[in-house]
Amino acid sequence: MSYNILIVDDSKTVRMMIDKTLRLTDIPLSQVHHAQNGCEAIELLAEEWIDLVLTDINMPEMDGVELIRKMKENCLLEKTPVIIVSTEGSQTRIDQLKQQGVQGYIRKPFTPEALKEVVENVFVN
Amino acid sequence: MQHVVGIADMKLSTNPEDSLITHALGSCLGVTLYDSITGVGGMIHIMLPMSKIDKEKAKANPFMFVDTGIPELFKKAYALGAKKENITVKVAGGAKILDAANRFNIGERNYILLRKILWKNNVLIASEDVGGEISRTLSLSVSTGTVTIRVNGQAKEL
Amino acid sequence: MSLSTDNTIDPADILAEVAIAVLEKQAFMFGERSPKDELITEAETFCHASMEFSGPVCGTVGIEAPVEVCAELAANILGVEMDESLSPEDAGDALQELLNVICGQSLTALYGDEPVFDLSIPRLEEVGCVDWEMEMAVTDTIGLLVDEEPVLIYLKLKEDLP
Repeated sequence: MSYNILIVDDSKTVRMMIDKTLRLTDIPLSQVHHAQNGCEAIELLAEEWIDLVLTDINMPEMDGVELIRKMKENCLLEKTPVIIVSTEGSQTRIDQLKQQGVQGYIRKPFTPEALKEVVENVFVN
Repeated sequence: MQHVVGIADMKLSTNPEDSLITHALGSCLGVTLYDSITGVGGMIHIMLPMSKIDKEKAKANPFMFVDTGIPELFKKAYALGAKKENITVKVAGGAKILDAANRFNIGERNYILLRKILWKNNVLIASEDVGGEISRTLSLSVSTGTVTIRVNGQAKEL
Repeated sequence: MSLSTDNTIDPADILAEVAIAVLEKQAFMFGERSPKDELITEAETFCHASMEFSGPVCGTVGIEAPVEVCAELAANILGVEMDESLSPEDAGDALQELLNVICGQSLTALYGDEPVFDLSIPRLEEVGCVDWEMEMAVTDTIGLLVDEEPVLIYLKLKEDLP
């Protein structure tokens, strides 16, 4: 089985870094999609089957919090695993997101190895 | 047979009866690579980050520096049949120890530069035991690829 | 580490420490604080990124560096060589993201992980020597040498009380 992954971040640098990391893991990949914000992500999620979403929080137009809320309200997307990749440092906010059912969280700056571990854990579980 | 990798030294083997070992990894970095398909195992004990501080020394012994030693380790491993997609890299050392020039940060610099080179060459580190203020011994079994760290007499698999 | 009413901690020191740590971890670049009068550059074009934060404390953080430094930053984060096809936009984007991370980490270092801050999206502009010299002259601006190249960073707090 190979996976479709969606990376959501307004920074092209971050999207490319995550993309490269994913391709260096043993995770069988089908497609890796990119979106610059929550709006683009929602459009893509409506068109493509996505097995995992990696999203930033702070983005223009629609931020990660809103994206996650919209996914959880959609019966077709509510079970799609989400990992937050963010500079967010507030434990309050992180706990709120975990209560919404986010599967993983990794704080920037992160090493590719740390990201690999978080992603692999989500797929194993 | 056990082969000792000295300071600023590198060894490779395809003999399943061999093991490679290096001692006294303080600020130095010990890096192992292992191809589980072809059975190529290698180890390098690196002292310093960048060869530009002494190009003549680097020419005479590339294994002294991270930026010359790591490419050489991989090149020689490929020559023995190792393939990048099958290689596992493990790292030990890079401790915060006052070196001969009274600097504390050589270990950290070694490690950061290693990470940069590996990242630019599309290689992830499989596991590591770095930093702190301890001296480590690193060993690699060529038959199994098992990498072991020894600190203060206590051994653990990396 | 929580700042709260601790007046012995200089936010500038925290900002510099955080910036140096982030540069190492994210971009494999070595930084150290430097007196601004020792920062020499022949660069003519610089990238200047800035952003605001709001919450229990409000303020602005910013970073300015020669475009060549930004290009190296991008190459390192992306794991490519400098001569591969990186655009000026890639260099600017890398600096914006670096600032984003420095801001988030600095706020945690200063105020702990309890307060909730909102961060703006980092802005970017390309500037020349005049802007660089102006920024150098600002007291709050801190000088760094990053892989022996000059970089300026600043953190300005709005002294608003809740």
